[in-house]
Amino acid sequence: MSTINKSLKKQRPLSPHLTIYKPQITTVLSILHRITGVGLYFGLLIFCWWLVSITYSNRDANLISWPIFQTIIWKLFLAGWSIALFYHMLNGIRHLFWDAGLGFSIRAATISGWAVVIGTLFLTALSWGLVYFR
Amino acid sequence: MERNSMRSNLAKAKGLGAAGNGTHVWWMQRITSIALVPLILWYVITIISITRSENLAGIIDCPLNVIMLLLFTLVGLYHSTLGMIEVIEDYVHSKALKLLLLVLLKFLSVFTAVFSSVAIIMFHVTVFTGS
Repeated sequence: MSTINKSLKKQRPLSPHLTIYKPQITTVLSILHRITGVGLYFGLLIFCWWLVSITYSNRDANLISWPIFQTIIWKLFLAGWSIALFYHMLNGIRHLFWDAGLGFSIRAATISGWAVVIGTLFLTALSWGLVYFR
Repeated sequence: MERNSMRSNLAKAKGLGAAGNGTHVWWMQRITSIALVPLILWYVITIISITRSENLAGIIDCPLNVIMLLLFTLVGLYHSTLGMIEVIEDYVHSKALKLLLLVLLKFLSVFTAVFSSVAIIMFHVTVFTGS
């Protein structure tokens, strides 16, 4: 009986899920908000422990002189962190407007979504431009 | 309204829902997100200025920067921990594993918050007194 139940459970039809839908700007940005949020949590942990480590070690507080900041992995991490930070901040502002009851129409959500994408690219490029080309 | 509702009149009047704390978590997440917008902008500008000329000691010398750094880490940790709790509750279906992860997450967040706060204040005092 239990095996029959199990096989029945396995074959039970599921309602259409993520994989069946064509990705749209609104849905992609929605899951990206969550993914970047999780990433930012771990990034913030690393930042906090980095603060602890420079306080209790006698190393030079001048960041770029540290060997680790010359490595490509660290640069990729920082690049990813900055993109995630700007994206999550801008999309969070978008969420706050929704919380206030504004911008719910499909047209408004699409436009604000693309505005967030463009804003993220702009802020990321501006920040790294200021770091390297000022 | 709902004639067959199992909820008591008192529960309806209080409006605190099944978890018993109403919209508190939702509201705290919004409040912290508003606070984080200026904090992130300060953080990014500060980090950029550090990578160019000044070092962190020059930044942490100023009390206002210490306060902003404390607020950024503490409000940031609070906001992201609330988010992580939500993610764990959404995707971890085993009750035991969910409880374990939630406890570990909270311990890790609070430990990090306290330790980095102590470090920031220590760093400030060291630089400020020039010892």
